[in-house]
Amino acid sequence: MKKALIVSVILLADIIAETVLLPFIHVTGVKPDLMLALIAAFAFMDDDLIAICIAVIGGLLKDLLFGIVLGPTAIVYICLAYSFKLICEKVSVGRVLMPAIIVFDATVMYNIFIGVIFALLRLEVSLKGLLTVIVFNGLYTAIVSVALYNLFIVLYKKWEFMSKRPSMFSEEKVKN
Amino acid sequence: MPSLLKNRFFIITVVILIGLIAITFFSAKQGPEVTPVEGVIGNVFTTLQKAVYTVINGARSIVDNIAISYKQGQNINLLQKKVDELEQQNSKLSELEQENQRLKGMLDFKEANPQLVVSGARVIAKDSNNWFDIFIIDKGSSDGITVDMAVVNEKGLVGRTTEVSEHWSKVMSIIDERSSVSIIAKQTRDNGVARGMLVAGSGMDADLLKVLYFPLDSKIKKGDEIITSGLGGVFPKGIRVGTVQNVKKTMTGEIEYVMIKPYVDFLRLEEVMIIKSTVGEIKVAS
Repeated sequence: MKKALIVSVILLADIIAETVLLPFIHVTGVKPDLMLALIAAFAFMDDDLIAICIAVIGGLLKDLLFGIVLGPTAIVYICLAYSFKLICEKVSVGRVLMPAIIVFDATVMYNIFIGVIFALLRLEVSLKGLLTVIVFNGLYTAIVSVALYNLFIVLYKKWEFMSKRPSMFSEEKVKN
Repeated sequence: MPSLLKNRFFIITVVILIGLIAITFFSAKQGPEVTPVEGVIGNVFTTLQKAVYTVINGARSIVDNIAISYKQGQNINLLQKKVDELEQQNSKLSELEQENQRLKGMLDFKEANPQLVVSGARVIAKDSNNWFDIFIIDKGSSDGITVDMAVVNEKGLVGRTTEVSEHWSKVMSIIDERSSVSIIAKQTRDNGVARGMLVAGSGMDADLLKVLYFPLDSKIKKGDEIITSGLGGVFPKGIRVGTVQNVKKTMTGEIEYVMIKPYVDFLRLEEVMIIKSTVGEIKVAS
């Protein structure tokens, strides 16, 4: 219960910061994807269920607030959350370099995916614009994600209840 | 595959994914109407966003003022306390002055265009996505706002409403990739369609519009003013859009495309006006 409350507050703070604060702190017109950074940080903490929940709820909220159709952002986020889980099962992510590389790659793929969708919709995208968004969004999101991940490491150590998983998932982890 | 089916987490993820795809199809079919559930959730978030946005705007102006004072080297200890107090007051006054100027500009626009019924609104949240340019305003259907109303500010055309809830609305700005505006060059009277384009960057390179379908023999040149043509039924004729920043010609000297720098500063949008009048034959003095 405590954990759900704290995660809800984090999610709420994230979406408020993303929609209200970020427009003021962009770099060369590019903003980080705070929601993706948050999903990655929870996935790196091996808290897959929370990562998936954030992906679904956060993605739907973003679609609801700014999208024209409900769902696409949530679908992309849930795919990325699951990918993070798979990567974390295969490799040891460490604290800085690997998380940064993984998030940078995920952001690059996310932006390329949107670029392809735009191209299919025959919307014109300048190569310079695409590269700027890919590079700066990737770097910016990776930095924020690493910062959040390290913050969560401290938070999980300080509050033991944060490390608890629902029984059905914790059993599965033990088997694996 | 069988091992995947034994994996509860994988099954849950797939079930959620299928649910999301169903929601997406349902939502795409439904069109731009805001459902009651969306409306309630949106109301909660827009209220929060409005409050935080106001606080952040205030904080930003205080930080700006403190930074300016620091540069000017006003660090006399005895007067520091007094200076701080005055800075706080100054910051508030400066914010009020800036707001006053913006509102005065809007009033000027309203007075210059008495035939238009306009309603003022505040921007309360902006999309953080780098690909789209959508923002939320604090006026909705209860204020007479409907979908596809033109949104302007004192500088020029901002965008159009795309979704309307009871107390808030989504506005797609003209620099959004999916936006297109029928325009006319004020000097040469050439018609074209201005589309939003992803041009990341800052200053003169950011937030440009690309004009397609200009007559090949157009005499348009850098600095020419672009206004709305009134075609398309959303934007009234004559609203200022921007100035020509670059004219791209083919090897044979024909116009290929034209880039426009909008008058509106989309990074610093705070107040806007929604034109409630139906387009019809309205002509806006620019």
